[in-house]
Amino acid sequence: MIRTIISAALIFVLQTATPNWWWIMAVPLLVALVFPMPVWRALVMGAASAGTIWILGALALFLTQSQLIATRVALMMNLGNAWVLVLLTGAIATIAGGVAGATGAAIRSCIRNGRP
Amino acid sequence: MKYLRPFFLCLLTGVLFLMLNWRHGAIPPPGMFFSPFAGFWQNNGSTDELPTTLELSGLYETVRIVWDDRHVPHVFARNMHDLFLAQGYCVAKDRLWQMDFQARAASGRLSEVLGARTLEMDRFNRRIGLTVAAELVMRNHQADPFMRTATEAFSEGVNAWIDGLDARNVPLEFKIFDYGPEKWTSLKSALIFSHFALTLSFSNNDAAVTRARNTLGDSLTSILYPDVLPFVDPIIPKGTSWDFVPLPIGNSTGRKTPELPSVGAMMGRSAEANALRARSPHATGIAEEGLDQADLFRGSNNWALSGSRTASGRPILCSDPHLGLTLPSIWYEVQLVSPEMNVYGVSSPGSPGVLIGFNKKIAFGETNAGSDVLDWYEITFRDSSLNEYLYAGRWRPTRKRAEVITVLGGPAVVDTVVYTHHGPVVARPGEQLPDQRIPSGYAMRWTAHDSTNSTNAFLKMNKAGSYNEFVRALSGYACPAQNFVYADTNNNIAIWHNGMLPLRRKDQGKFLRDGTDPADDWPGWIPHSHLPHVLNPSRGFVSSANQPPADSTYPYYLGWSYAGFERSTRINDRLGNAHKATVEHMKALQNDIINPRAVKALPLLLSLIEGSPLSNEEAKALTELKRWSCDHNPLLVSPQIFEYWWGEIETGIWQDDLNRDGLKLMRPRADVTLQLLLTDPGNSFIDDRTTYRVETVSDVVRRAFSSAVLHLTKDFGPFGENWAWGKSRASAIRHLAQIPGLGRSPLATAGNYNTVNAITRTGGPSWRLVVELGTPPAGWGIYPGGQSGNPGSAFYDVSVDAWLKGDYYELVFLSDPDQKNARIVGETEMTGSK
Repeated sequence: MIRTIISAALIFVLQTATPNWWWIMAVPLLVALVFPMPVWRALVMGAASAGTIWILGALALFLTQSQLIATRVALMMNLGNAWVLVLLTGAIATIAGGVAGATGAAIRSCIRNGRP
Repeated sequence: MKYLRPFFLCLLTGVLFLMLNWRHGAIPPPGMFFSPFAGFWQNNGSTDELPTTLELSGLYETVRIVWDDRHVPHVFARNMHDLFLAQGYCVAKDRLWQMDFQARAASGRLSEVLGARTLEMDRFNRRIGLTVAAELVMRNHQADPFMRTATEAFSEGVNAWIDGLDARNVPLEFKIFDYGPEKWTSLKSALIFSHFALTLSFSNNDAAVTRARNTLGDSLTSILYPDVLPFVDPIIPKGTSWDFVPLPIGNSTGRKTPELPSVGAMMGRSAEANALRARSPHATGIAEEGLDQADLFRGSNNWALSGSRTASGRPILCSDPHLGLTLPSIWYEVQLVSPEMNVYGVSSPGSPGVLIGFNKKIAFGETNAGSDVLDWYEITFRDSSLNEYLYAGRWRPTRKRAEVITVLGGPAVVDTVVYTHHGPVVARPGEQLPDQRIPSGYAMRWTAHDSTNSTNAFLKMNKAGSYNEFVRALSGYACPAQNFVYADTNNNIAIWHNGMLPLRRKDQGKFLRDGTDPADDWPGWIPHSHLPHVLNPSRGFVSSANQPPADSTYPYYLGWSYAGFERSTRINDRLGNAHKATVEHMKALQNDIINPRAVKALPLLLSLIEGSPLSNEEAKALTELKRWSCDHNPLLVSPQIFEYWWGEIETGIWQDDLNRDGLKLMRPRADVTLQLLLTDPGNSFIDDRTTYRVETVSDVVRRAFSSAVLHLTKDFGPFGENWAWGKSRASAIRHLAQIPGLGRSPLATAGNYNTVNAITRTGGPSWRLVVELGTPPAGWGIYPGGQSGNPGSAFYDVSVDAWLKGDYYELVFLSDPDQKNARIVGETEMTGSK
């Protein structure tokens, strides 16, 4: 849990400072590299941390200033309902963060197992 | 085996990263686009927050910007440099993507960011030399200290905004198309103006009319495609005397254009008509396609009433340019105040100054002139290398310009454009471009390629305080030619048909020209003081609606492809009856939806089908038409029935004559058809030559009515509300790049091209302005959009619904930044950074 919080906090801080989208992959990967954990747990950690930050971010914006733009983008993408965009945003981060976290754990495990 | 899982996961991570980071066709990179921290979520209403202070490098002194409740910036600067720098900053803040896109489009560089789908458009814009034209304009700006300051300061302002951008606040469209803004330059401002020239002066029926003449002969051509249009009241009132001695032009000096002969006299079963019927198109070697009449669907209205005709005793000026409607809007509202000027109006995003508006003393507005400023010259090349061409009996070298078109996701395309002294050869010999108006192997002579300084003319107009200063400003204006309407606080009103207009023999520019003969070149320009104009006419008003500028007494040939009588007649009728006109009357006239063509034609058409056997649907349609007052009200079915009926009548009359054996000639104008119906219904053109019997006008009109009802039923279902004008026509204000969801449609709009409120499916009054020239002047205006180009802003399309209803905003015209006004919502103080 604590690792998920660390990952989520780092994603939030780094994305706020430098708005590169790929922090949602880089941070879970690095956290899983640094902290030992099974691959499945790293997957959950990455998915939860990245997914939570993005879905909360999208939700906060949607409920405050971004409803109009979300409605237009939903029309542009022929989605029918702007809420789908909130879910889609969360889904992208969940998948990307999860896969990156799992990869980090797998690499760590590979490196450790390869030691003499 | 132990490396398999990490390897697989690394591979999956890499693939996922690439999928999220790369653009997939029209889909933007999902990672960037969906990010709540930098993606589309950030293009929200926060862009509407107004800063209170700003530091801008390059400012000489402090600039104050006061924002009103529609987020119109009122810029107060202490010098012209700072004024235009601040204007550049404001417009970039609201419209950066639009500016970048339009400049790229004009320079033929859209394919760099959009890929091969825009390659043909890029190739065309380079072939017609829009960049060459812009380079000439920029050279002029560089040579003129004032213009150099204006355009460079404007660019500095735009670039100051660009420098402050980060991934979060880049406009949405950059994120969608996955590219970034380029630094703004003076050349880009010139390109925006070149694009205006393309939109407004690329009038181009020379090839089509030449084909018609080769097939029909001179006499029929002059009847079907006349120089003098029927029913028209010209811009300069008939009987106005010309206060100049005309320049000689070959053997046609001072020659008057003949009045239009009666169609009845000349279109009867004449030798020409019979010849047309007997002649095979193959005998002339012509088997060509028809031509579009798109030019007829671009127009505008403007007028000014003298104080003698207004309730207040003060002159009123009105201007509503009709253009393609887009979001973001083509216009950006602004007030510019410095010690030299205080002007309010609409600007073109990308250029300094105001194009239609008013200052403390004068008001001005434009409609498209429609005079012919583009000719085609047939080029005789020495050989297929296209290195030399024949002119005046000698071979002259061509000039070649290699245009390298970078294409996203594909190899660059090199297109070499051949230039003669006439201009560029847009379609090489044997080459057919998608735009079928372009003849192969001809060079294009176009005034946009002449060295001009039209932006300067507008800036001088912005500063002008009297009629003489206004005329001096106009004398430097070149292209696209416009009808400039004028009113001032001294109760002067005027109108000028203005621009660089070539001296030509009668009909010289109507047909394709011989590029080898120096006698066919333009020998010069009509002197500015000889252009059609009038000051304070006795009738007490001036007006234009793209109709011919002058009657047949005007000594120079100007062109023939003008708008018909409809809008101008209606406007002049209404203004002629105005004695105590008010601003509200003028707003009502701008929103007038009576169709004068229907007014003229409908009684005759109804009488011709009276007593005919009708189907149930036809009877219902006829009942509606009989009680119709010729208004294009969106709730009525009659306007659509009339439009379909008129279209079928034109087809019934002309198709058999002009579209046979593979020959398709341009259809005559609607006013020629109307004149034929009204004055010569027994003419042989009425008969359908493909049948054995001889059809009468009643037969054609009845058949057209049945066909119209049939097509209406097919297109919109059984007679009913689906036929209603607003619903069945369904106008649209599209996004500039036609991105779905970012425009507004369908819109149930009133009016059509022939009504004063000339809304079409995708075009219409792009700005409605009414100004009463009091002290201070009072203005009302609206355009269908909003100040912001950000689709996530409340100011993106905020005015569309009010525009649809015909409402106006009272314009906030300030003389001082501290002036109290309840509609001021913010102020920004700009200071130069150290």
